[in-house]
Amino acid sequence: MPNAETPMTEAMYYILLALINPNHGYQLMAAIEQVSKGRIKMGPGTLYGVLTRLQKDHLIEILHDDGRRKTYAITEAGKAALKGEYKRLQQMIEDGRILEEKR
Amino acid sequence: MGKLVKRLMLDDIYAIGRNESWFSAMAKQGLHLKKFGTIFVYFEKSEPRKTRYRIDYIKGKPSPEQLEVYRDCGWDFVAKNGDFSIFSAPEDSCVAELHTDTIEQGFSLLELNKRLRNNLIIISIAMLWFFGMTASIYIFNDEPFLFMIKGQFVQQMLLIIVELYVFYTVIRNYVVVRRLKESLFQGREINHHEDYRGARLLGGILTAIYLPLALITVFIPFIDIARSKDYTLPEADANLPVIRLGEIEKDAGLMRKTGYQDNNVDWENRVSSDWSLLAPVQYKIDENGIIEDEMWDDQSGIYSPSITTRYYQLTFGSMAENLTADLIHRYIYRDDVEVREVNHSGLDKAYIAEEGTRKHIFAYSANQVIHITYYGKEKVEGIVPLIPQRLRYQEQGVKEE
Repeated sequence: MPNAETPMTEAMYYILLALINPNHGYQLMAAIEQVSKGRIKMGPGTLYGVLTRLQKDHLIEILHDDGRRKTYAITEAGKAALKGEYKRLQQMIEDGRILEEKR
Repeated sequence: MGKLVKRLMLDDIYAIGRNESWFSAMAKQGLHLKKFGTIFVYFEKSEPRKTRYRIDYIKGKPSPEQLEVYRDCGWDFVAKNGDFSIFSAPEDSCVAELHTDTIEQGFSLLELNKRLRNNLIIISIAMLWFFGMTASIYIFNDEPFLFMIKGQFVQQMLLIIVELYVFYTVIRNYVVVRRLKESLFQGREINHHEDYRGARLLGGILTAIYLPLALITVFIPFIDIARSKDYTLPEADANLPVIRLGEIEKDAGLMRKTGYQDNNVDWENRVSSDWSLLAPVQYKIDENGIIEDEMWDDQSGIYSPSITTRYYQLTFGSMAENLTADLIHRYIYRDDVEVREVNHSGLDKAYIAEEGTRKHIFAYSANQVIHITYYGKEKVEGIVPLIPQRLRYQEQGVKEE
């Protein structure tokens, strides 16, 4: 079984990233598309699956729920996890530089 | 709204890819999924359309907002069963997949996987307990054959088969979800076009076997009750597999000694008939007599002979010998009583035993077993020759029915 936190799935990474600005479900999809510059088109099943899981792991929280829509936001723990993953990815990119040097 | 068409579910609800594929095949024939139950699935009849179906595991009820998001992405909510929600989209539309990340989809099944595992653990313990109980009834029983015939042996065996089927279902469900989860974690997508025919056929066959079995298991006790009855032994010959006191006692002064009456049944002169699958004809017949001008040999009172006959017609003649042994074990109370085998041409085996004025005959012939307990002064050896004709009489009587 893959570890739930590292490495993060792409879906999880982008949802956490998008939730730095609190948002609700539908706009979240647009936000992800935007932040990934159109590269990521996430299926709604995946989106809600990840939201449910992140909420259970306390990486995000419901900021506001008026019964019709829920507004999600990243928690401190979520930010820490995201930063950790960012560092890991950065390391990976740095390590990957040899590819360019060798070219 | 078009006509609703009902189909049996037959396959496991957890076989996600197979069910999606089946729903798509039905839609192609103009039958569009409407309602999704555990036993029946309902389709609405209209124009054939190529439709994609996706089964999504959503714990609890999907929120209106969530459904709205799904719809805006091109996925319409169709039906729901438990935590499984089904969405559909036209085949030729270019909507994105419902799930775009297999690992995340795998995570979404973790909880279900855990729940099914707990189910499996609980039912395994229950099965062990149940088997232990059932086995101990027979292992620690001194008269297992008698118990099998009188008790609910066949029903218990059927119950075991039914329980095994339930057990198998629980194991299968667990394995299916576990495999699916593992395969998603390895990055393999659910096969939305998996062949569903074989599984539905197998499911149909298993249901066809298991359902009647389950029904029989439920109904056997009712047949048992319906078939058992008590009535007063007629004074005249009644075509019963029984030796009457009148045939044994020489004194013409023999009268019936009536006893406690309940529901118009004389308990001292009673026929109790019973039924079980292993012994479809069972009788216990009591008869009590009295001879006013005669005393017991020890002068303890007026001579009142009695006779109790237990008769079993077995489904399997091969059980006759063991049943006879069990009857001897059950009804001979004292250890020092000698059980003697006597030979009689009309019987396969016959045994006699005497405990003072209490005399026993145990005999069997083919699939018929008889046990006679006689309290009285007459010699037990004189009774044995009377038995074969009564057994034969009964055989003919049954055939005439």
